Amino acid sequence: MSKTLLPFKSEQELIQACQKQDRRAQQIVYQINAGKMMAVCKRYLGVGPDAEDALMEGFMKVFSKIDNFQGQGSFEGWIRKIMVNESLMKIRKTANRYDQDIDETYDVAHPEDALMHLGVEEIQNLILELPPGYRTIFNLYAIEGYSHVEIGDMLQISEGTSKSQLSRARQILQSKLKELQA
Amino acid sequence: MKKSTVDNWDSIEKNWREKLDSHEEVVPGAIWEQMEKKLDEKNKKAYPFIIHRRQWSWAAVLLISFGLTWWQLSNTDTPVVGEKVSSKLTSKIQVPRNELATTGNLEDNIQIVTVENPKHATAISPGEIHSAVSKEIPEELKSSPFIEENKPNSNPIILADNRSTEKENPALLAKEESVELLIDIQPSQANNQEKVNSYVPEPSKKRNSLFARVVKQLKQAIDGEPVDWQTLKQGDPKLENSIHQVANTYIKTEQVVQRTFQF
Repeated sequence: MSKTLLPFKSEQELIQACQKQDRRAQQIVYQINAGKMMAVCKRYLGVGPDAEDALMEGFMKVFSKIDNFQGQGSFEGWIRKIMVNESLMKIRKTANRYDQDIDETYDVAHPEDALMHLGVEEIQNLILELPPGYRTIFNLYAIEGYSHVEIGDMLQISEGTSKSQLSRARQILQSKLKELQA
Repeated sequence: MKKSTVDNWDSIEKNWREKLDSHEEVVPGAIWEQMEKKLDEKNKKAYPFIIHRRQWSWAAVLLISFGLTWWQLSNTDTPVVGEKVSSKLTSKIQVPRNELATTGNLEDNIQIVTVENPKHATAISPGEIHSAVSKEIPEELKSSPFIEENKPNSNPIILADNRSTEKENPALLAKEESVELLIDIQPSQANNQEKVNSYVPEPSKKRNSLFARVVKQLKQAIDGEPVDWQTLKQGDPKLENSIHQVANTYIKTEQVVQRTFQF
């Protein structure tokens, strides 16, 4: 997949063309970002048609809302945010997975050094093995960098629930790694 | 309540974030195709005029340029070659140039004069023809031997049927070169039952045919097919003689429309 901006000279020019609904510009934006955004969607929704749907609907939203992009922050970051929101909406539609209001945090053991040396595929697979609720919060906090307050707002859960689910996610990851090493 | 241990988790998560940040997955090619279809549908619903604005602009260019040219021509008093010179019935008389040059006498040319519509022809004296020719015929035709050699006299010209004339005078069959004159001929009283005007090309019909051509061009423009504006001039002497005006108006209007729509 070609990832050149041509015939556009800069990202700014590309975005302006997209704002005019230029099909060539839209295709270039898609070609540049689709692979990364597919990885984002899969991290939340797993392998399957849901991730592909979220990717497609996410890009449709990118092209329809591109006038809202004011150039503050990176364009890729803006697209990623849309993809994350689209994935969360997909999860919400399937089931309410954030109804557990758990304030209790779990004792998570000191992380193994092996976690630092995992490859991308292994990390991706480990995350995908988490139950959907834990996986979502781990992704939002650990990978996307949202705070617990922001996660609480996004998922309509309390800050405590977000924290406890993150602890639980870490605990599961630790045990999964031990299973792998055993 | 138990305490969580997050000693090195932050560094591990940072490590994972960096690794996953540039990670890409393979995307099925069909996704873009589906998206293109959706985008097309969305654009059609949201901006039906914008989608077709290029075609509409061509239609507008044609319509405006045609209207301006027509208006320009209708306000011009310059006589046009080949135009009907009076409101009377106009018939065409064709005389071979070589015949005129050798005989130099109008009376000798009685047999070779033909009329397109003999029913409405009547006897005209050479004097009437001479006066009509000197008034209405362009300069280049006035220098013809036909004009110079024939003075008005009292001998009438008998206008014969076209077919019979050709039989009697085989020289006409050749028709290598002929001088075409437009002469007003009064309708004969005996055959006046049929309307004279029916033999004259009606201006309204000409306009209709031109209108039909314009409509055809507009349809082509709206359908996105290439438009050949030169076909508009076909069969219209005004447009054929002033096609440069049509072209100039067309180009100017096109530029204005393109600036307006910002292609």
